[in-house]
Amino acid sequence: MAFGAFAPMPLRLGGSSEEGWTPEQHARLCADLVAAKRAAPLAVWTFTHTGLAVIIHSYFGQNGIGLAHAPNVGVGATGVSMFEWDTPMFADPYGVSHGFLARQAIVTVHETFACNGNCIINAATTAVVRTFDSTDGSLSACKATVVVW
Amino acid sequence: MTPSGSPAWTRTASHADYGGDVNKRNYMSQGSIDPTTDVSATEFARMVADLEAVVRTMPFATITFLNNDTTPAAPTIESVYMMTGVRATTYEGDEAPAGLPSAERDGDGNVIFTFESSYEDAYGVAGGFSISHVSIGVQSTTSVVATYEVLSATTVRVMCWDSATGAPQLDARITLGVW
Repeated sequence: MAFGAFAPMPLRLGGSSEEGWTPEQHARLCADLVAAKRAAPLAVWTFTHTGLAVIIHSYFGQNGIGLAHAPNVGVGATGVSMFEWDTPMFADPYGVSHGFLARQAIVTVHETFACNGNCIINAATTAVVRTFDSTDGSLSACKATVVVW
Repeated sequence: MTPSGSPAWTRTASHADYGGDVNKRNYMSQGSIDPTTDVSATEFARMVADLEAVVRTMPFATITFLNNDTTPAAPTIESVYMMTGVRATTYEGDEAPAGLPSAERDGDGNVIFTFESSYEDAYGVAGGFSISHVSIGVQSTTSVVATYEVLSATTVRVMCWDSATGAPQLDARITLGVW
């Protein structure tokens, strides 16, 4: 019976470091993969609120890389940007889908003046980002990066 | 059986701890015959190298909490995504369940979080933890900013302010990221 790849199938742990996979290595991979999944951001994106529109420049998400995977954009008042997932559900490459609940967010503003940004997660499906002129607390259209968990 | 290497938050695991080897090769030099049943050495090498990369930069914990200043009390921890466990229901900072960070109020808009100096992974392997990096976000409809001060290897102070006046912001909701 022919075997292919780095270890005989069905995969059994053992063998050498060059041709196999030890139980200790497999266990470390599993433990660290779970640890990483627990803390992994749901998505990161950078956008600009121009005053008239919100433009997403880049999107990295657990559901994919690129604007096609980004949430829908809504424009509020100056400095208020809304990002909404139609269906709060991602599918993995195997078509296994599961809902998600966004709960946490951090906003960092990209500007050359004193400003800051906040994010409120509404109903776990909408992220409302507000950017401000820090000196007087007024809303201000800015460029910002949002990280959501 | 004890896993090789140390837990993810020690940032020390290499691809070799996950089974990688720069000389990894297919068993008996036979490449993948059927991709639906075989895992090739090159595919495996990519997986472990990428896991090494991901583990290097993943936050140890992200925590969203609500300060209690109007009625002074420890902050309410609303959710915790931590390498050692996930908590999606609230708890009071001064009554932290085992294994989760505690928090105390230290004045208006001012709280101190305390972590353990060591945590265990799913196999009971302990790994030391110390705070290296912090990132903070505020959930607010007004211009509130937050700052932090690492007090020790396991404690960090988080403060929030009204950006326009510089006064402490009461009852703020904040997300804290710790690496």
